[in-house]
Amino acid sequence: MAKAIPRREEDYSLWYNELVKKAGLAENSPVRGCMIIKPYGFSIWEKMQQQLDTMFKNTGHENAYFPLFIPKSHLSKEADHVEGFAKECAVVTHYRLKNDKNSKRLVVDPDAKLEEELIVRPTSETVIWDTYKNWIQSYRDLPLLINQWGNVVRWEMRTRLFLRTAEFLWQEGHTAHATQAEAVSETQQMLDVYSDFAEKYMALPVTKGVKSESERFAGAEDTYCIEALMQDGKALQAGTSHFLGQNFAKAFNVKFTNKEGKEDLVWGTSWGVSTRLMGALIMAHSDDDGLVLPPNLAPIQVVIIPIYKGEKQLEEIALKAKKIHSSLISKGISVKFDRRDTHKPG
Amino acid sequence: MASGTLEIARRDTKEKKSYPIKGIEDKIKFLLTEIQSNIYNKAQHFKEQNTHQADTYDEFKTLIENKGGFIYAHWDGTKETENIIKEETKATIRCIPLNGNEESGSCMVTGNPSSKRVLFAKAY
Repeated sequence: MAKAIPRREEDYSLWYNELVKKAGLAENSPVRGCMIIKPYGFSIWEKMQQQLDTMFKNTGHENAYFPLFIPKSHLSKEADHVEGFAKECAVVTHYRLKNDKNSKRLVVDPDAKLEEELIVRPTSETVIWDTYKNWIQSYRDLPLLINQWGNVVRWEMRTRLFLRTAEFLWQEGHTAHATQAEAVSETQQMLDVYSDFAEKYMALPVTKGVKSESERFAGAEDTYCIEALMQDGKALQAGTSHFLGQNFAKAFNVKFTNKEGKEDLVWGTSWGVSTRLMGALIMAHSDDDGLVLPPNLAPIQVVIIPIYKGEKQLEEIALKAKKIHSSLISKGISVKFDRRDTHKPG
Repeated sequence: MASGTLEIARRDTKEKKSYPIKGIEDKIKFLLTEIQSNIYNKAQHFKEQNTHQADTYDEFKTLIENKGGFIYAHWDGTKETENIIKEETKATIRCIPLNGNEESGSCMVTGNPSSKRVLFAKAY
């Protein structure tokens, strides 16, 4: 690293910010609170995604995709839910711009006002349960086990790269079940998936628990979570899994005919982890010299650096290094041969 | 490399060691597994060192102020008490642990009965 980052002891917060930038993981964007994830940072996120996606599929889930925009009337159908998210929603009111003749500037066309405003999803329960109403009629349609990879927007005032950003990437699982017991066990199963992922891949020990009422997800009956400890002694919530009871089924009128031929409301869960996990990964393991990644999530696990005198020796070494390179790859290890002469070995 | 050996530098411990090139692939595979568990163990050790119990509110305030970390304490289960703690110390209830032992005690703020300790910390 060309220029040293601050030491953790001096200023942990600055250490983190500088590390994220110097390691080439992410940077701030022209819109305050939004981030640009750079290729190296994104390749770590991709490794996380791949592993989590495998774990979701191994537990019977399928991926789907729902729209970015939610009609305002949908969001207001579940009372607690809207109250929890209303303060941080981005709203689309118009669909066209035009050149103003007088000022010669681009302005919002007042004639292009939407009849109903659209909300940029802060989470997708409402659009998904509105859809489930059409997908679920009988107990044979259950359980419905769906995950979505996407982005959401929550208008945060105090933001930090990866840890808290207005737009972030995440996955959100949304499942529907015939019984309460089944939905509760799904909620707990996904918490276990998250805690296995954190411990085995992120090398991050976590404590599993349930949130108190005031920290609960807006619209849930119970929020389960995993909590990790960062090097400055602060906790970081690394994943949540919600038991929704029949709240969203009631709000969106999602009913099914059970085995006895009677109509009943569907039970739900939702669960998610986000690019916030990148923040946890960086903060938990890195040191005053910079980024430390657990090998299970490192995009490059091994770097081969030649130590040589003169061009001739470099070519000889490069030949040997190539052999080692390919035999490591055949063993499933990711390798980079770094012969840049601008960097000193060591 | 000319001598048939190469040097391996570990990022986690910053240790450097020479190994013969013959059989290096298996050595590296082994080392990657070891690094993974070393990083976990280090984090686990840190977590243990920074997890405390508080029995009185004064003790709790001192711990939060000076040491931070995870603090297990008794809470009476009310929103009001939770808010008092949050306003006075900036610590929040992170969770009611699933694997926590049942242990009857009294709330560190109100003295009302509690059946198990909950996890407090300042949080991101």
